[in-house]
Amino acid sequence: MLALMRKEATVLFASPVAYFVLTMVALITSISFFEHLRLYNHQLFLFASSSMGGFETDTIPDYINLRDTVFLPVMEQLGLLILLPIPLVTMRVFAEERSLGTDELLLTSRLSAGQIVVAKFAVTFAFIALMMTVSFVYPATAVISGGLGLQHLLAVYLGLVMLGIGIASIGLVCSAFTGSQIIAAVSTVGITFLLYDFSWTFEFIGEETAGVLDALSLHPHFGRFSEGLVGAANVTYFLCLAVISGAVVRFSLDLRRVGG
Amino acid sequence: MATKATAGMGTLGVIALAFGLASFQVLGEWNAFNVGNLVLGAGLAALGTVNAFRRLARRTTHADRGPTIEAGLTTLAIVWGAVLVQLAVAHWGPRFDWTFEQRFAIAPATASVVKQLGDDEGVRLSLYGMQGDPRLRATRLLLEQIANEHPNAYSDERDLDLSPEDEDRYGIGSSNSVVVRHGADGGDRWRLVERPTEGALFEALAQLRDPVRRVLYVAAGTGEGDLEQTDDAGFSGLRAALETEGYEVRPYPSAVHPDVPGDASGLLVIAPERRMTDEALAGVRRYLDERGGRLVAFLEPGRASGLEDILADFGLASPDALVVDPVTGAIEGDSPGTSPIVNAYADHPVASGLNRNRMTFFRRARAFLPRKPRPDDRVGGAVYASGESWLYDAPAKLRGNETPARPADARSDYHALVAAGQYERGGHMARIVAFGDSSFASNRYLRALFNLDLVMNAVHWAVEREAEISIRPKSGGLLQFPVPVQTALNALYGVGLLLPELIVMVGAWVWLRRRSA
Amino acid sequence: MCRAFGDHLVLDSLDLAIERGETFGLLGANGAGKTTFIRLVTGYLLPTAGSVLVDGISPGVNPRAVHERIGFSAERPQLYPDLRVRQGLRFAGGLRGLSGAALEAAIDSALRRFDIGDHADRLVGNLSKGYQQRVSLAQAFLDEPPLLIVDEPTSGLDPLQRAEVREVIAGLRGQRTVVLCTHDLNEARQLCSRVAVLHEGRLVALGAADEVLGGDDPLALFRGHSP
Repeated sequence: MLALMRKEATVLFASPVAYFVLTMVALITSISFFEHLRLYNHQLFLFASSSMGGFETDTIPDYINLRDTVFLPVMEQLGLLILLPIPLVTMRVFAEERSLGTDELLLTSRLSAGQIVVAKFAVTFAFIALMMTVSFVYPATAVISGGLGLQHLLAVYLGLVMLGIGIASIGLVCSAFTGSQIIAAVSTVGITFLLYDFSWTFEFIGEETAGVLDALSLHPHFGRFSEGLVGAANVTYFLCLAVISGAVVRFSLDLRRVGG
Repeated sequence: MATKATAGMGTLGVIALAFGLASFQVLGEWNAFNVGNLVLGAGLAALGTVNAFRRLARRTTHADRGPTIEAGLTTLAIVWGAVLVQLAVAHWGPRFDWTFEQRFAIAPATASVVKQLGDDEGVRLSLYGMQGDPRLRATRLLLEQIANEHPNAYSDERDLDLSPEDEDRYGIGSSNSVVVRHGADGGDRWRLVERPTEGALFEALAQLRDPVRRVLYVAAGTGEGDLEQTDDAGFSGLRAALETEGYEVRPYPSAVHPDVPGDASGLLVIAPERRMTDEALAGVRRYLDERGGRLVAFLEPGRASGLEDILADFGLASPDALVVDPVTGAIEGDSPGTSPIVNAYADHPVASGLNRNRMTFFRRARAFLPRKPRPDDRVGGAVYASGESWLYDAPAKLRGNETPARPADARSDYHALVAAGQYERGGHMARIVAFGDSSFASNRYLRALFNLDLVMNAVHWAVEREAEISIRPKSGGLLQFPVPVQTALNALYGVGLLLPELIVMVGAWVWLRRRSA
Repeated sequence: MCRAFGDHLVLDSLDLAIERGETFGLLGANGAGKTTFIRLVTGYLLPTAGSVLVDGISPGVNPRAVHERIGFSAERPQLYPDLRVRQGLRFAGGLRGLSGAALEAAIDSALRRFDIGDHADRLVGNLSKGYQQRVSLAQAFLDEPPLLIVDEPTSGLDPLQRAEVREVIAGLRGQRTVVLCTHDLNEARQLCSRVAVLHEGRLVALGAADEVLGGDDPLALFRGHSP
């Protein structure tokens, strides 16, 4: 299994896609975070200027605070942003093996289908964690040197990693069911977009049905992290999504042996 | 061929579904485009699925069925297992509050007052509401959280329309009101809270507790801060907070009655504008030296009230100089650094609960140079400006928001803005807390950041009610402090692009090397 | 044994025993069922009826034990173009349970045996087809399994490369059991001791290579005519 993981990592970092994705996400995260922080400081001083009544709690509108002005919008932005690079990473994981014919090599090795799935999922998830780590190096430095605790930023980071794991799981399923990387990427974006948020359905269907849909969709589980509230249920939601995806991928490998 | 067709159909179906849903989501109504897309998408997706199954059925034979069914059942079992785990965790799983100010946790002060009431006779929080009031949910959660703090604390919810007697008895005027009653069954002592924030509930709970009040004398008559004055410059907020936390506030007209009254638990002097009379100063000195007095004093740069000399004799010398802390930018139209936002606290009960995230705000403060007058005394700073701060020694000359010029010999150091001391004098224990700024506790700034906590904890420590030292509930605007990130920002746009640059370079290098390998 | 995909019978009542140590040729036109036969032996597919035994072990029952005994080189080399030759071999060795010094020794010996040492640090994707085929063979033979299955090793190669690959396979004769799938009669004659000819899933001929392919019109076998 270790050999497969090593090979996955080698192939991943051999392609320019990995570096492109890392750079883009790192750049955009840092710039977005600092722009929001700058704007927040700016607004704060604007409202705190003596002409507006001074630096007193009541003179600054409630909506200007770190949570609502910085963490929530940054998270929303990044949550949508990582929808694009992640399929670029996941699309090749299984589809490429299929198009190269190397899936047969794996399936007739001493590895079980389950082990293949675990190794490939693990490497993909590790890459996503790395991607988010690289992009949070600067915000974390700023937050520490600014004297704030890291915890809220950590919650945001965890939320984005979890969302990334969720999207990647969907991407890996798509990759397992096709030999074409393009189809894998496009269908990942499509399915993620479908599953992203059902909150708008509340108006049209019963509240109970909409509630179930809401519990199924990605966005509500991810949104809580940016508020700084880390619920075990929101973590397990994404992990369960990964486990279910893993099971489905494993089944697809079994089907391939049977169906030829 | 069949594989391609199936995958193609599935993909096209998903794309059509996505566009159809997006259109419907934005418009909120059906039209030809989104209906057409949804129908087409659903049709293609269904066809693709059917096709896939048919293909599978065609290609498999009875020999494959066993392993296939086995694999399918394993998959189903894993899926259901994951769903069950998720449901269980959603129901019982813990949640962690990682916000800077623990916004989802009850403030320590609230928790401690609930514990006291619970140990006593118990406490019941009843929420009165009318059906359909959307605010009830948040209030219900808050009450449940508070009631969780003690087994003898209860919360319940009642329909306002069905309880006209309670409505009259407690004078409930609107939905989403909370009646807090001392005693689990509802005793005689109760408070009505009409806008039930945690802060308001904390105050109601605190008022129910502890009928024994300590008397706090507040110096008056030589231009001290006024506890009756309700505008920005006044200190009526401080008075309300003191009364909430169990003090009775009485004036101490120092010029008329120089001796501090015998029932005083403590003495509060808020930045006299003029020099106190010699008799008054002698009275304060006697109070401290002979009776183990408790003094909380607020000074102002540029003023000489005579109190400075007494403090100096007790090891809390304060040169008449303005603290300039360049780490804080310009606030309130002041020149940069003269209104420090502070987050360096000593390990002293006065500053307990405060930390790097919990800042306090001073507006033009002077510093203390604590030094023990006697070996057994315990004297020290409690709150410090940053290590970059320096002293500007002619604050009186500074006009408006003129920037104080830094003299070449100014020394940067951590300057104490609040200092405290404990002394054994005449067989009694005297305690002093001195603040280098008085506007710190004025109506305008008392509830900014964690100022209230610092002032109240200083008073509690001075009168030896350490058990009351706590952090009080905050309203929503708590995160409204500037984050000092300018340096980091400069770093990002200066050298910070280095990391992405390096990644790109490594990528390019790998790619070029591979092309020739 | 039989194997069907739905109603389509791909292998029909094939009854075959391959002896230890021989180089066995499996011949047939495209679509004759050769690849399916190999997949049944490697355990990638399960037989619809009958059974396959490798060294007395059924791949359906104990796939791992069978995988350990088989090295397989497919018609289209199962290689990762993004890996260097040595990396690819290291990965293949890892999959076969080799590690550490044993793995490195096996790689070095495979590199020598298949004469690709000079290209060990090149990208597989940048190699010529002939060399890719050699890497594929090296990969299959890495831990020197007792049974080596080689599927169309020379298809798409130029005559020189063909000769090289054949030489490599000939070098294994007598040391290992080799199953060679091909539709090239010369190749079979040159390399194999025994051959079987498949047509539309059925066995049309089985015997010593010289006998079976020695007739006037061996191509008739490919059309399904029994000798």
